[in-house]
Amino acid sequence: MTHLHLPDGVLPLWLWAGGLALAGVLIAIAARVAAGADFRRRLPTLSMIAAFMIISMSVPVIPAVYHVQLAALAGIVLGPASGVIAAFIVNLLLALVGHGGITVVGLNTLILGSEMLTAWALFRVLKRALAPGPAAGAAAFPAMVVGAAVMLGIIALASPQAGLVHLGEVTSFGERAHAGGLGPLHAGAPYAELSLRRFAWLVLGLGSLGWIVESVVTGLVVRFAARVKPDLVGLAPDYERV
Amino acid sequence: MSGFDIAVIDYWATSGRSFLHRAGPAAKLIMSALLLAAVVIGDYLPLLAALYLTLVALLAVARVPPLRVMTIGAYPVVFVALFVVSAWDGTWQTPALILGRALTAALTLVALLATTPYPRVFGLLSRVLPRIVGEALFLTYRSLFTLAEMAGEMVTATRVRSGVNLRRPATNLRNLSLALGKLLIHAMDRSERQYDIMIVRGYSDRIAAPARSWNSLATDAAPILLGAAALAAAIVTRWNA
Repeated sequence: MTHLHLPDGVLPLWLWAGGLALAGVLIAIAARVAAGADFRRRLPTLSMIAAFMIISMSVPVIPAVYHVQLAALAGIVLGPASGVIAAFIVNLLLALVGHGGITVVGLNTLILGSEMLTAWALFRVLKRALAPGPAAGAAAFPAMVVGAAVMLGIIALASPQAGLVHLGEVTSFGERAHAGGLGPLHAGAPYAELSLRRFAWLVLGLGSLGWIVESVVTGLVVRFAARVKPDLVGLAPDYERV
Repeated sequence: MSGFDIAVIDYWATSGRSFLHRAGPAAKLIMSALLLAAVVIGDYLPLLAALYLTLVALLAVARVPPLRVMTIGAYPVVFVALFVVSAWDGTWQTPALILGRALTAALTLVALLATTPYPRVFGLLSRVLPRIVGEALFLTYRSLFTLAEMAGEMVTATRVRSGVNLRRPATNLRNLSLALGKLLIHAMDRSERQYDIMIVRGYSDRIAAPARSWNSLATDAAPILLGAAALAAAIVTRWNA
């Protein structure tokens, strides 16, 4: 996988509630910015690109293991404000069909949005020096690294000192917690805790191959689009991104 | 996760006539919220299992194929696996808690969408979202069906032309990237036509959503009571230690 969608029930309430609030503020700002820039005309484009992101997940680039999401490509095409809205819509729709958590829609929006914004910003700079395809590929990889870093940062926030994320006490069949409900339930399983270091290794290890694949795909798609429809990737002067 | 799954979920939602399908969307949304709260609060594994099985039974009674819904609702397993490995402490309870929460939450949402047509769900969500976000939500969902069909045809065409060969991953990557590029161009052309069609049909900055959120008290009370019971059980089992 190139993207890890946080599932429900693994992060503490204050973290996902905070994520929802922060994403809400960002979306409100993005909606305000977008509404003032001929959004009526851009609405179908935003919707189609968000749908494209979801559908591209079902295209098997490497059989069975990896799927792409093309968030960097969407960021390049849509720009920052529309990108944030698309990130939210994609995560909400995915959560509604069981792919990624609904309580963590805000956090997943921040992760995906950070990726799209980074790709958009880097592509703007890189396309001055490189051809569109290589520029998009070169923008996509660091964008996905930023997305992964934001995700790891979010998980680290849950327990910055110990590097262990407290998931809650596990109460098994018939066994009850003692010591005021906070103590160990049985030997060997005092709490459900997540090792941040182990998690980071897994995400970076599995993700890095996917990021390379997705960067190549993004580069090739943008190269194709630049030849056929250059305005789509900002190569026409009259195209405004918001 | 595929466009086909979304089409199937949509079919179940629009073709069903069960008590759950007839309940108002607001009632089912409240039920889902209460069930999610129970899942988040719940740390008692039998309760999570009971919630999951209750949802499966509800779907079976509503004549939505439970096995198929369970398969769709099992997508989080891939992501949860990373959390399970990272939180591995040598016991079965920890993975069971993480899996139980994620799977029950996912099934809750799939059950909502499999028994409620999407315009009704999005109509309610649109009331709390910025207007343009709400409208983009409607259009995105609609666009999924268009694109899913196009993507399916494109992947099939690529395969038929021997564009996918397991022994040549680089060729695969190039060919499928080209297919995605074509899909993107088609999608953009379609979006431009969609805008023109919306204008011709009288679009004036607002997509009309079904206004009716509630049905009769008899049909709406059951889902809400079920959700409330689940939440109460989660609270009791958590703090009754």
